[in-house]
Amino acid sequence: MHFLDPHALYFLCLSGLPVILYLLFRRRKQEVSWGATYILRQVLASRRTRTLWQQLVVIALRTVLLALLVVAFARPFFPRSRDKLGAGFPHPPGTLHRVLLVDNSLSMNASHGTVSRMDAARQAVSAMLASMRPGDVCHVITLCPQRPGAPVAAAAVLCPLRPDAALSRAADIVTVPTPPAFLDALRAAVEAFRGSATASRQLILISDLARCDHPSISDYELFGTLLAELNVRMATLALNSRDALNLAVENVTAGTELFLTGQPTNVHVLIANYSEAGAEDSRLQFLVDGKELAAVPCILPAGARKTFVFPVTLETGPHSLEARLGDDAYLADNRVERFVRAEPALRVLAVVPDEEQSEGFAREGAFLQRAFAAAGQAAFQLKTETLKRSLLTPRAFEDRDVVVLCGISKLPGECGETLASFVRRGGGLILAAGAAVDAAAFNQSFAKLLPASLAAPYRADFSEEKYLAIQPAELAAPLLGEFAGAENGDLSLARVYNHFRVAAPVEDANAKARTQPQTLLSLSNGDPALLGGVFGKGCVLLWTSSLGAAWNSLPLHQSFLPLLYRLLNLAGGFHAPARNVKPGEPLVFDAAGQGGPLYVTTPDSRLLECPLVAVGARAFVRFEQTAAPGRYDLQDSAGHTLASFSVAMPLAESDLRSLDNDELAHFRAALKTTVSSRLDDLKAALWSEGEGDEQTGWLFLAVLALLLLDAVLTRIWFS
Amino acid sequence: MAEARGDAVTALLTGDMVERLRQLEIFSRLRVEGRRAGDNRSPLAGFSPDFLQHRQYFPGDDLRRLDWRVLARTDRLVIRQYEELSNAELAVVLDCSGSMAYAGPGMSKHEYAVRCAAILLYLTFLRRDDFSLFLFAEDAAARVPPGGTRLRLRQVFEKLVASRPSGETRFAACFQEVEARLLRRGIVVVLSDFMSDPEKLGQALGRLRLRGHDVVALMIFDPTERELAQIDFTRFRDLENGELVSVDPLPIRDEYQRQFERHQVRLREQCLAHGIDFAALPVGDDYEAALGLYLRRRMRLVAR
Repeated sequence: MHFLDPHALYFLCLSGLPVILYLLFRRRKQEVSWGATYILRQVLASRRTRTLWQQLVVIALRTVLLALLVVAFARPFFPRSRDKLGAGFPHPPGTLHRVLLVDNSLSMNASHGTVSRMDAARQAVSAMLASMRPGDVCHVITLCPQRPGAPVAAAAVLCPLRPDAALSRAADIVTVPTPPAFLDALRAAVEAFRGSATASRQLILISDLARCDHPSISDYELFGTLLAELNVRMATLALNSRDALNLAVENVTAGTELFLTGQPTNVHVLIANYSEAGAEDSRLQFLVDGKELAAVPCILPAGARKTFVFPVTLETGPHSLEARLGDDAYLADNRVERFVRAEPALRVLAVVPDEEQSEGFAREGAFLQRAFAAAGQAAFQLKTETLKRSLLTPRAFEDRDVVVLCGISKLPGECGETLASFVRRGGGLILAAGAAVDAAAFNQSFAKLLPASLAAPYRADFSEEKYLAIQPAELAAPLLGEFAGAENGDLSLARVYNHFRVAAPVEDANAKARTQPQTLLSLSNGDPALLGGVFGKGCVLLWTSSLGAAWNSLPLHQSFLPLLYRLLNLAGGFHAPARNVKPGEPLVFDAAGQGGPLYVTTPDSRLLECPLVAVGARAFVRFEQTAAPGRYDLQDSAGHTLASFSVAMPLAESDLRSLDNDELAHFRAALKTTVSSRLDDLKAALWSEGEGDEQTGWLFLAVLALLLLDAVLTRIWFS
Repeated sequence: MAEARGDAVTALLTGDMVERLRQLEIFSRLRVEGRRAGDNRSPLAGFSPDFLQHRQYFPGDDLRRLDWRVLARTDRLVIRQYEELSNAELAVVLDCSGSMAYAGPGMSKHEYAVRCAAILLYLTFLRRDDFSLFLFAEDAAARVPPGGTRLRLRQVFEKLVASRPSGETRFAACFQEVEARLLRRGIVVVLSDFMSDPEKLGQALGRLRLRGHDVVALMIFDPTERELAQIDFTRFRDLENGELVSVDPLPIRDEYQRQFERHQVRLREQCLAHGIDFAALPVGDDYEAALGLYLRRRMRLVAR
C-alpha cells in the first residue's frame, strides 16, 4: 500500500486515545459505601469477564476507528499493474493537473498511412481529456497562435468530460499556418502550474518534433528546471516517422509575372525533399493552364533540392503555371500554382546622352537601338522610343513599362522625381553606366533608386589586354538562367574592359522603399556586373558597365540581344499588381470598367465581397484576408472570374524531418521528458509505481460503519 | 437518633403516632404460648368460649363437659374441648450488621428498622403482651429479656436508640441464639436487609418456625440500593467488611436490578416454603404507613 499524504500517518498515535481515556476514566473512581455488595458480588461473579470483554471490544473498535480515520486522511492506494491499463488513459491517484501542449502547425497535416498526425494528436487529446476526474484541472495549449504575434494562452477545460465532449473538444483543435511558438507555450504551461493545488501534475507535449520547430533546444533547459521544481512530470508523444516522404514544390517561377508573347521563357520549378528518406519513384507534372506540358521523374535524395526547368511559350493573356507532385506524407506542399500574364508588347523608353563622345559601336545607344529593332521579328513587340537626355520631359514616362538610361549621369528638371514616381508605381528602370557617367552626379541624381552607388571605375584607362569576364554561374534570377549555358551564347566570352565598382547606397529617407540589392551577374573579379533592386513596386537594374561597346564587348556578343530582352522582361514585369503573393500580403486588382460588387473565393471556399477602392479616377479591389495559402479567384456578380491569385504556401512546415538522435537526447535531457512514438508507449511511460486505485472513499465508509457499530454496541451493552 | 438518647420513647414515637398506633394490633397467626391469658390462640385447650374439638370420654373426665347431643345421636361418649387464649410474646430481632448502615437520600436502613421495631414493640406493649429485643451483627450483640412493663419498654427503646450497625452478618449463629433464648412460642419479627444466601436464611428462619414460633421476616431495603444509579466507574465499599469492589456500574445495572429482584423473590419463596411471613419494606419517610399496611394485611389474614 502507498499513501498520497503520508505525513498524516504521524497522527496515528491519536488512535491510542480510547485506551488512554479508558485508563484515565478508571482512575477517576468515586467511592461509595454500599450495603448490597452481596448482590453486587453475585452480579460481578457472573458478568465480570463478559463486561471486561465488552469494554475491550469497544475500546478496540474505537482504536481501530481512529486509526482508519487517520489512514483515510493519509489517502492510501493500492498500486495497479501496467497490464491493467486497458483502453483508458492512466491517471495517478488523487487529483491531477494536466496541461496538454498540442502542436497544431501545418506539418501536423502530414499523414502516416491513412491517419494524419493531427488526427492521431486529436485521438490522444480526446483520450486524455476523457480520463480526467472530478477535482482535476486541465489546460490545453496549442503551440501555434491564430495570428502571427498573437499570444499563446492556456485554455482551461472543465473536468470531468464525457467521452463525446472530450472528442468534440479535441476536434476543435485545427492546424493554422502560423509557426509554433514553443517557448511561449512552455511559459504559459509553467504559469498554469503555478498555484496548482492538485496532488499530481503532468505536462504532455503532442507534436511531430519537426527539426525546424526546435532551432535551439538549449533554450528549453530553463523550463525543464522550472517544471522539475513545480513537480511536473513531462511526457512527449512524438508523432513522426523517419520513413515519411515529403517532396515539396518550393516555387514555380520564371522570375517575373510578365511573359513576352511568343517568347520562350524558362519556368523554374524548385523541388525539395523534406524528409529523411530518398524519393525514388516520384513524378513531377508541369501544367500550363491546366494542361500537362511535361511529366518527369523526380528522384531526389533526402534533404536535397533540385530545379527543373520547363521552357514555356505563351500566347497573349493570363495563364496559370502549375507544378504537381505525387501523393506523399504531406499533401499541402505537393501542388503550386502561379498566375502569369503574357503581353504582346513592352513599352520602352531609352534615354541616351545628348552627345556621344564615342563613335561607332562604342556609342551607348547604338546597339540598344539595333537591339530594339530586332524585336520586330518576334511575336512580341518592343514599342520603343529613344530620346536624348536634353529632350526628356516628365510626360515621356507616361504609358511606359521600362525606361532605359544609357550612360546618363543626371536627368533634367523634374524628370528625376517623375522617374522615381514611375518606378515606385511599378515601372521598370535599367540604369547603364558608361564612360560618360559621372559617378558622383549619378549617385546624387538616382540616389533613391539605386540598388547600389557607383564608386570609382575599375580601371582608369581602357586597355584591350585587360578585361574581365561575366560569370554565368552567379546568375541569381531565373529569367537569366538560360545564360548559364551556351544556348544563347556563352556570356563568359564577353569581355568587360571596364566597369564601375559599387558601394552600399547612402542611407536616406527612401531606404525603406528599397530592398536589399541582388547581384544578378558578376564579373570574374567578383564585382557585380548587374545589380537588381526593388523600389516601391518597381524594379531597378543597374548595369555597372556600358550598354554600348565602349567598355565591354557584350553588344557584339550573341548573348546581348537575348540578355537585353530578358532584362527588359525582368524590369517591366512589375507595373501590374502581383498575382502571386505571400500570406498576409493584399491582393490588388485594377477594377477599371467594373461596375457592381466583386467577390473573392478563398481557398477554403468562402465567398467574400470586396469593396472597390477609388484612387483618383481609378478603382481598385484590395483584399487583405490572405492568411490561408492557395488560390483566390476574383469574380464579378455574374460569377465570371476576372483574375486569379496565388498565396504561397509557407514552406517552413513542409520540413517533416524530425530531431535526430542527438537532438532528441538533448531534448529529453533539457525538458526532462520521456519521448514516446505511440500512444500506448506514452501510456506506459506515464504509468508509475504510484499509480493505483485510491481507497480513501472505502475507508471513510468503513469509519462510518464502525461509528454505527460503536453506537449500537454502546447502546446495547452500556446504556 | 443521637438526640433521642435522652428520651428514647419520645425519640422514636411521636404523640400523633402513638394515637394512630392504637388502631393497629399485632396478632400471631399461629398458636402461641403466653404466660397469661390473652387474645392469641394457645396450643393448649382452655376455658375460652371458643369450641375447639370433641374427644373420647375417658373415665375421670368431667361429666359436665360431656356432649349429651352426640350421645343421643350416636350413643358415643365424647366430651367438648374449648380453646385456650393466651398472650403472645413478641421477639424483635434487629440486624445491626454494617450493611444496615447504608443510607440513601433519607434515613439509613438501620434507622428505619429501629423505628419499625419501636412501633412493633409499642403495639405489643399496648396489648400488655411481653416483648424482647435481640440486636445482632456478627453475633448476638445485645439482648433485652422479655417483659411487658413500661420500664421494660424504656429499656428496649434505649437499646434501640443506642444501637449502631457494624460488622458482618451471621444469620445462622444469631438465629440459633434467638432460638435458644426463646422458651415459649411467640411472634418473632426479624428486621434485616437479609443480604445473604436466601436458602440458608430460609433454613435458619425455618428452624425458628419449626419450634412453633410465628416468624415474620421484614426485609428492609433502600430503593437506591436496588437502582444502582451510579454512572461513573465506582469503588463500592462493603459496609460490613470494608472491602472495595471496583465496578463500572453502567454495563451491569440491568443485571444488578434483576439480581436484586431475584434475591427478594427467592427470599419470599424460601419464607413461604418454611411458613414464614415475609414483607419487603422500602426505606422512606413514611415507615409508619408501610408497616401499618403490613400489619393491617396481617390482621385480615389472622381474622380469617
